[in-house]
Amino acid sequence: MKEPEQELEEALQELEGGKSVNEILKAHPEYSEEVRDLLTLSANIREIPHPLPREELLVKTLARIAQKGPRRTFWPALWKPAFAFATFVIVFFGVASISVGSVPGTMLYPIKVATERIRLTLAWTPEQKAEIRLELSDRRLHELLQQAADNKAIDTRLLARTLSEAQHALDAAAQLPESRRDYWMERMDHFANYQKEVFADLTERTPSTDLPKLEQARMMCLRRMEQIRSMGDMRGPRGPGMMQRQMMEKMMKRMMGPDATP
Amino acid sequence: MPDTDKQPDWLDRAKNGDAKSISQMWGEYAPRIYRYVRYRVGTNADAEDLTSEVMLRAIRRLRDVRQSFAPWIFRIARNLLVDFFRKRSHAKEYQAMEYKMESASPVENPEHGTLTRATLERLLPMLSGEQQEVILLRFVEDFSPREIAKQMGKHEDAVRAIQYRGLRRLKELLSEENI
Repeated sequence: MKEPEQELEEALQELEGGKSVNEILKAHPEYSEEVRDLLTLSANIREIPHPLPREELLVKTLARIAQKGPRRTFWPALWKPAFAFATFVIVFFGVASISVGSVPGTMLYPIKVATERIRLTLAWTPEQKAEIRLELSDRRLHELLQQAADNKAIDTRLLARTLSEAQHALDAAAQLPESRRDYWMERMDHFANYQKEVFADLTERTPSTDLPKLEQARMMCLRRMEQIRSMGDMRGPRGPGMMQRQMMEKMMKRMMGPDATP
Repeated sequence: MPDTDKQPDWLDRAKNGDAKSISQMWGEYAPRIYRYVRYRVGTNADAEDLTSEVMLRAIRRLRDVRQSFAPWIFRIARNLLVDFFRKRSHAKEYQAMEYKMESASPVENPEHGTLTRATLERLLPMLSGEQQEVILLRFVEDFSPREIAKQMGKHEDAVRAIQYRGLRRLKELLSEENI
């Protein structure tokens, strides 16, 4: 006599072979009541519509790829397929272009940030990096403007980001050969001036509690402009002195808190 | 039952970092891993986090695939689930509460005598971990007892016994609820 486990397994294999539960039970009247019940139950489990992931799963994974990769001191080969995948998804599904207009707090914003991080990681030359950093600084600035238009308080994180991305862009531009540096210094100077004017404009539209932050940010733009102009005079291979940069970073941290660190 | 021993067409290209092939892998396996994990952990957020981690690990370790792909990726999921339950063992009460809250809103209206997803989600955690795993791998993911045995490091007969006891326990629970 067969063990019930064995009987059930044989019945399951017939089921998987395409027979219906009724056909199997009819063909095997010797099966115990329990085996018959369990076969029916297993067929029911197969027929249930099982849970499906939400769209957020892809967003979460892309955000993880973006968060983990660039923060490493080197880019292990292990991460390359993950980045290739993320880039493909973003480009293929056009999610990146849809998310460009998203603002913090919306569902597409993490995709926007993930796309930016991936672009940064894939940028190899200092000029590519400078270009992307400058664009990111500009994006954060526009997000601040958008929030002000929605009568929201100044987001310190965004303020710190627009300043720090501009500083990173300047650092990348400082590594360029002289033939390209003049062009970049002019762009950086123009952008710093624009940032400063936006901050000045925002002071008229934001609550008084935000004014000190905006004034500090405006002062930092002025200092960066001085830095850019002094770089034009230095013509050294490394651009702005490390000490000056460290001072700027310390100042940013003191003003904005820990969020100021990119 | 699908042939899980057969390697997917995209595997070799995915191993070389081909993004389109990796996306195919995502499309085929992210939903399968998600539902396997979702039944085990009970909440959407945990299931998403774990699935995301499984898929990332799989993408990063694609070159290590020497055996059939499906059992390989499910083994990653299984190992992560073990870590997950180990870490969460101190927070069982919280987990139970969270699970109860998510299960409180049924996805479908159960008819008498019909097994629904909501019922399965509610009753499955009352089985032992091994029983849950065998039932999910066999009846939701279509693995054969031989493949499940390999994944769990057990003999096929042991898997069949676990499968039988698991189904019997589930049947008892359903009877207790008059389903």
